[in-house]
Amino acid sequence: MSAPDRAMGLVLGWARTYTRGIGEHARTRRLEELASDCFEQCRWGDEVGTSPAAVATSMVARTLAGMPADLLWRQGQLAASRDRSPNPRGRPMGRWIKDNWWVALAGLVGVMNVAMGISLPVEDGTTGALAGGIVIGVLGLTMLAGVWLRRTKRVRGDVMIAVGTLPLFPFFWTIVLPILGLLVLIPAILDAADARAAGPPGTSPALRPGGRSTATLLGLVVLATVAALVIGRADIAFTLVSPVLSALVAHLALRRARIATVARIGLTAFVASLAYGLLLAAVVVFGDEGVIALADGPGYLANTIMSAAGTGGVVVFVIATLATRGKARPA
Amino acid sequence: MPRRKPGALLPIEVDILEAGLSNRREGNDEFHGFEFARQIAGSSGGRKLTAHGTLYKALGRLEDAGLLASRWEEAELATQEGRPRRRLYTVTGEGARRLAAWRQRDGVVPSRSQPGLEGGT
Repeated sequence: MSAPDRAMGLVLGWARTYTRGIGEHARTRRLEELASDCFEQCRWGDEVGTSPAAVATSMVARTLAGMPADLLWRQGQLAASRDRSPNPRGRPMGRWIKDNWWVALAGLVGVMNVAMGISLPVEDGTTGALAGGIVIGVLGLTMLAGVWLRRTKRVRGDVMIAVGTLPLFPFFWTIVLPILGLLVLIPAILDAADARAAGPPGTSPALRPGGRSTATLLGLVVLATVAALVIGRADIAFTLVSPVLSALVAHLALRRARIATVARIGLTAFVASLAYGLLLAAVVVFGDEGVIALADGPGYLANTIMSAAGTGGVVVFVIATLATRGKARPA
Repeated sequence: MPRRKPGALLPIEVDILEAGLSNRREGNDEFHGFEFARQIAGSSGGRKLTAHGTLYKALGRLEDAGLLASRWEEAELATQEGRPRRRLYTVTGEGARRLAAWRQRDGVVPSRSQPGLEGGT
């Protein structure tokens, strides 16, 4: 096989890649036009005495230089096939990167969590390390599943990604890991809120139904994380961040639950308490001496509040549900 | 990305339309994608051939705007010559008018003076 033949294979291979999933008519046309273009270039090279290597190099260079335009064209074709507002110039690549960078980061964090989950029991053969490894690994897999799932079920995938960041927050002394967690958590929550809100297009997520609560909780998580990083003590950090983080995750998961408002608040408190318990268990299982003192340190108050919230949440939920059913019954 | 002004043409679109009209003056009303690339490169001081993605995206855009029309050549002809069939483009009347208006409005001098195709295919 000559160099131009190999170059043509590369050109058409790339074209088959970026035309996958678009309309058959557009795909066939583009592939046939490129096949013709490559053939004509080879023939022209023969006519003017250009070396096969130079022709092949030119074909590859033309492909590489045109890749951004190819991807924009693909976006335009997909948008047209979905009957969106026609945009012949496609969607700007910068916009796509701006919207999706955190998903790529979530994928990396998910892989990192899985790797940590495997390496923890391998390095430390204790039962605690095994249990901690399983928790981190499962949450890593949850995050990766969320990255995959959000293509079809965006809100559910975003919530799974947000939950998958939880193992990063107990590691405050590293500074990098909680910041990494926030970099994924915040856009995941905003994206879920954006996708879930039923408000009119262009409305700020904070102004949509339930959006104020989300924005408030998110702001509290950010504030608590910053405060924890400044204070630099693991036990206080956990006490500050974990309750609001758990409340935020629970709120997002249940924000659109089709139950009475009071019942939803109770259920949210209960789920937040469960999430907090999961975090606490993970930290205790890790056996970190700085955080394990939670039980008799500043964490005592947080533990009590979250336990009370869980118990109270169940009571509120049950009462509100029964009251709603009683009203719904015919007289 | 800023939205384009109505009636505005991008440089690659101007090049394509000028190449098409230049071919027409030489008696070739229809031409295929690689001819565009070669003519644009040959008439711009040794500029390299236009990238595939840029060229075919621009051709599609011009066709969508009604400035170019295209058709597949007869398959038998391509088979006889032992090559893939070509997509043949021609500049429409609207394309010629738009290019003229663009030149006039912006005082743009044509980038080439009837460049022609040496040893055209």
